[in-house]
Amino acid sequence: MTWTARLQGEAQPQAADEQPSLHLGPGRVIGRRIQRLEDPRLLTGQAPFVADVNLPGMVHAAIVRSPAAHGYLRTIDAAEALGSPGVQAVLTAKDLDELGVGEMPVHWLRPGQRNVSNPILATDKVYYVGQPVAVVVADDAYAAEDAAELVSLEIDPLPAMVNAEEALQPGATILHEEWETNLLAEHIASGGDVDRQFEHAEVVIAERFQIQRQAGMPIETRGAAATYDPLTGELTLWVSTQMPHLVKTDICQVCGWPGHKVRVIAPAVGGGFGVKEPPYPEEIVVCVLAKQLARPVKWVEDRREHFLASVQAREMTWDVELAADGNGRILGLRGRVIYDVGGHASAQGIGVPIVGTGMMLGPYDVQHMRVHILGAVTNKVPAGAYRGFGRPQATFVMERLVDELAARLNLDRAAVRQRNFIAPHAQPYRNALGHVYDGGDYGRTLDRALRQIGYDVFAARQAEARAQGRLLGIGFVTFVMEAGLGPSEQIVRGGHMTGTYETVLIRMDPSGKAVVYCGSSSQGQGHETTLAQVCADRLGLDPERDVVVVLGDTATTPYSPASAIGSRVGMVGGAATFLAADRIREKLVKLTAHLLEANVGDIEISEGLAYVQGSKDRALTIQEVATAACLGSNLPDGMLPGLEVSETFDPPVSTFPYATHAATVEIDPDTGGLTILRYVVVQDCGTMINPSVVEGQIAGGVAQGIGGALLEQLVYNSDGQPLTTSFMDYLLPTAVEIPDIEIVHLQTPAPDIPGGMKGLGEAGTVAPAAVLGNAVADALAPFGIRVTTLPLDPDRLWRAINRRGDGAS
Amino acid sequence: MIVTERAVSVSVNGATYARTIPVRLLLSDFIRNELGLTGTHLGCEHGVCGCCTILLDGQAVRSCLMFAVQADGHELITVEGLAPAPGQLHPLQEAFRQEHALQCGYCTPGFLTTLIPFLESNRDPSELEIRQALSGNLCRCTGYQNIVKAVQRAAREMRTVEPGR
Amino acid sequence: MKPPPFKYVRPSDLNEVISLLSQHGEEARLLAGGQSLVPMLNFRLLRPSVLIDLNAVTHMDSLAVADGTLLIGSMVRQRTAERSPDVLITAPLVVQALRHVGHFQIRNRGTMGGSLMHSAPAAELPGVALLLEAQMVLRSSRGERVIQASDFFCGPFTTAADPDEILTEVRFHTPPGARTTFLEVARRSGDFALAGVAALARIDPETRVLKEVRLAAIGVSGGPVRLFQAEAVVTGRYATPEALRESGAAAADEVTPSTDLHASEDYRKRLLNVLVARALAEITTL
Repeated sequence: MTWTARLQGEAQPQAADEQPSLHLGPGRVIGRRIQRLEDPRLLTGQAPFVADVNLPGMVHAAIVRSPAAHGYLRTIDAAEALGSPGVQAVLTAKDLDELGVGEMPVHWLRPGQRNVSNPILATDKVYYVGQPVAVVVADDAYAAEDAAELVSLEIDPLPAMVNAEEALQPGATILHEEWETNLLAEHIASGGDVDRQFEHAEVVIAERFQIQRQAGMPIETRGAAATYDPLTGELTLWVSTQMPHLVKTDICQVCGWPGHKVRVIAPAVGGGFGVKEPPYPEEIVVCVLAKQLARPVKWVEDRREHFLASVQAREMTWDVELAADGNGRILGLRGRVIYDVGGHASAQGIGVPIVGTGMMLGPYDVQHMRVHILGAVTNKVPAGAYRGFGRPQATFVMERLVDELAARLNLDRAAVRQRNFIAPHAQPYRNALGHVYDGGDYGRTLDRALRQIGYDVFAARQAEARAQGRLLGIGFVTFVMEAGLGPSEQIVRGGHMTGTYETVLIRMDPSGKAVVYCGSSSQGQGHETTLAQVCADRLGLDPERDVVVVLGDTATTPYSPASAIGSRVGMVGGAATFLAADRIREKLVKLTAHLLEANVGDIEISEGLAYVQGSKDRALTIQEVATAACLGSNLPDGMLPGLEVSETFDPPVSTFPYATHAATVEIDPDTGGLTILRYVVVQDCGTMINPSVVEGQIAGGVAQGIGGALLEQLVYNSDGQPLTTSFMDYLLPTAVEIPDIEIVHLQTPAPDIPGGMKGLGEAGTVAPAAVLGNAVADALAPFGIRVTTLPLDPDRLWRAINRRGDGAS
Repeated sequence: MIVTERAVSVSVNGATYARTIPVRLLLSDFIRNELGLTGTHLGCEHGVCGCCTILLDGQAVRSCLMFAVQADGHELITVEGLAPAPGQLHPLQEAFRQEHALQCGYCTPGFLTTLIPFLESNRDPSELEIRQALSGNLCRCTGYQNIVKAVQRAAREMRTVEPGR
Repeated sequence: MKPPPFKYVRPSDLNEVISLLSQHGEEARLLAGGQSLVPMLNFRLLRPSVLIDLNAVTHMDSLAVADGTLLIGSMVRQRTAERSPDVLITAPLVVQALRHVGHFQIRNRGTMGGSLMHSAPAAELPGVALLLEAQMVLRSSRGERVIQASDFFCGPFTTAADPDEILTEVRFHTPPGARTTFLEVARRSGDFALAGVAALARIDPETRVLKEVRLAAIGVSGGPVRLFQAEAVVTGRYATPEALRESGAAAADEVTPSTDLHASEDYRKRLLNVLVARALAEITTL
């Protein structure tokens, strides 16, 4: 199965089984498909996940959650639970208040935003089914769950509001009465003079798009385990999170504890995808209980709870218009998006639609847009991050509009895109909202993808199939995303309460081996391997034998405000590693020149040696040089002993990776069943540290995008009761539903990032809904169907073909 | 005898364990908490995700859908029992590593235990057969692509290593 | 998601099971393969006081053929039945249907009797039992009785078995010369069917006329249903595309599926219509 095309001028990654022996030295380890360093322990069941943390005397917490979507919480009666076998304690909001524990902060704020923090346990009102109300601690998880059932809640129910658009209508039931509205916050993404463009537009495409509620759904649920040492006053928390340093910051802020006495460890984490981005109430509660009970406390979320209490995502309704001239030149975009926030702001506020809308014009040279973003609260689980962070929705909307524009003008869809793309020579390009792109040849990715999938011959195949009553379709989408956001100053000014820099510390001891400390954590992205590769590359080391990467422990790693979010660790952490390793390298070079009595400019470092260029007999091993540096004698004038360097990298700009995805589909006209025939990705993410890791990220992201396009949907009934609370009802794609994904790489190094990496982690998820939406619309073109609503399930497609009901696309 | 606790004796990865346990203890929790073999993971506890798959007398089963008392007298193999020796990997594990068939690795033990009997009964599976065999295990990271490749590689390797079987 | 407390007993003899059932009745639950029961316990949707584990009971997993009839013990694992040459020869429909039951890991534990007694609306085996007019052998302290499948399935998760009765054996008979198939549509590989069809047909070798046609549907009603109208439409006719289409349409007309998360009533009817026509086409094509 050859799925990586090899073209002149493109990266030419080898298949894993053709890997040559490793060449060490600068520029020789970056770009290699080395096997991951983290794999042996994961493959043998030895990697510790949070549920595996077991300490003597540990007790287990179970959360009592609201059974009602909306209501006044009158009383909590825990008497019976307290008498249940093995129960140690029951905790409610009143107890937290008495302990001086505050509220969970919202980390993304807009001017006028109506909530900036949320109760850890419900106080006087509940806003969604699953909201934490009380915590029961018992000797084991079984006893805790038994007792949690015995806590009785008296709730006066209120009507549930389950539709964000209705929530903003006059007379709607108000969730947070003190706000006198259900509008959490709003933002207008605006640039140019869009209304004027519409005045002279020859074509206007107006459409309403609805994207359903989905969730990142990592296979490991959330969990937290804490222990407190009363002698030292030190608290240690193991938590399944993407942001261990931020969890620590929040614990200290919420509980009033000093930072130097709190240690947060993200052990092996079983997938994050944004769900594990924000700190959660349960994590605070476990810490508070460990201190109060002076016993280790563990809570492991079960799958049903995950459906009730971990952030959900994606749900938006868009009313938008696209203006164009008669040649298909896009003039402007305007409209409104209503974002379903859920019961209260999650940590991310309305950041998701803001980020999504920010790059909505993507690769197109269009300077006029205005999108009004409204975030409305509803009686559902709070909505927050999910890989893609608003971009899949915005891309679906924009790319469907472009296809509709082409159809309206009877123009080729690829030609319309090419006509509107930002020319490579127009880079760096400032888009309508002020984002400055760092280069890109969008037309090339589109051409390459269309060549790969055989666009030129597809129309004939399609016509032939139609004649036989078969429905084939093709869809393609080119997008640009802003990844690895920076600089910190600008991000904080935009309302995000943390910066986006990364600090990496590298230590080399007399053995000449390196340890890389990075405050981010990994949930499967392979950071341990890729950061080791960067370090090894700069220092002439073997990444597997000579480098260890330490991640996710606040006691040993430098502060990391943003950690593993926003497609940033490979790029920002990679750049910081690059800089730190280069400083060690510089010192090794100087010291070697001194020891060998040679010129600094003549020293080379590779394959574990420091030597005089051209004469390898004048060489020292890295170990010998490192020993000298650590010993501290016989150093050149002005050089301090030691080999320990910390570098902070704050990206001067974001990076703008881009890609084209293309797919062909077949739809069974009798059943609406959809089969993806081929799926092609042409991606430029700058320098690839490890192409296998890059491909893994793309394939996984595409699979999630396909799930969201075809299968996944979180459903609530009109009472706000969630109907999808198991894997029987929330349908994650399996190996049968996901096609082989053909990946072609282009590689244009990021100009402003040491190492040249661009953010990648989320890229795969951005396009699939749009690509499949366009492919379905193409397949169903004979029926005149407009694809505007997700998911594209067979029932919906069959209805569309047969024009049944108004729920059709 | 109707009981709430019961003595069991179970062979796991070749070692025999005798314990007295509550009858409602799930086999998955027994393996993880009583025996400390935490490589068997829990992803849903309702039999869909496949993370907790183990071998019961050589057959792949969901350990979250059995009570530990039901394993009395049976032979189990968990992910910890696949590699021939510490520091080594089973050919299937090796293939997963070579093909980058895992990312977070949380679902991986369940995939491995599912695939061992599959590859024993089907030594040269087609891609469709592989995908169908994998469809009872959920992975959210990889998109399955590299898992399919790893199974193809492992099948190749295992045919070479054990000729004539 | 840990199961609630219960008491547990593991008898080794059927008489002991029967005595426990008569003693505990509705308070007790039989634990066969556990692939449906244990999830319900983990979700705490059920709170039996006693679980009677059948896995150590002897002689409940026999598989025999007598006079062309398959006699299958209720503790036979689905995977065992699926791989049994005897089953394939005497009741191929059982094998055809089992391939759609969950995933192979589930079928490794799941039992024939467990699925039939659980009687989920979209379960495959009840459809098979209904189509093959299986005989269900029930035992209790009052003795043994044999019920026809058509009298056995009484709606979602409900059978004619009394609380103190245990299903010990099922007898499947395929009429000589009949061809069978099982088709279904599910959202994903291994999911419960949105709609499924078990079909059987006998063609007169001389005239090529459809002598006997049986159709049963799953997922479109509270339990498995025979599609008598759809059968009648094609019986006695040639298997022309038109006849098969008419049969499909008749099938859709004689069921009233419910709308749920995964499919609407209309869509399930549509699927049934298509599946009936496709199933008949498959077994009437040489």
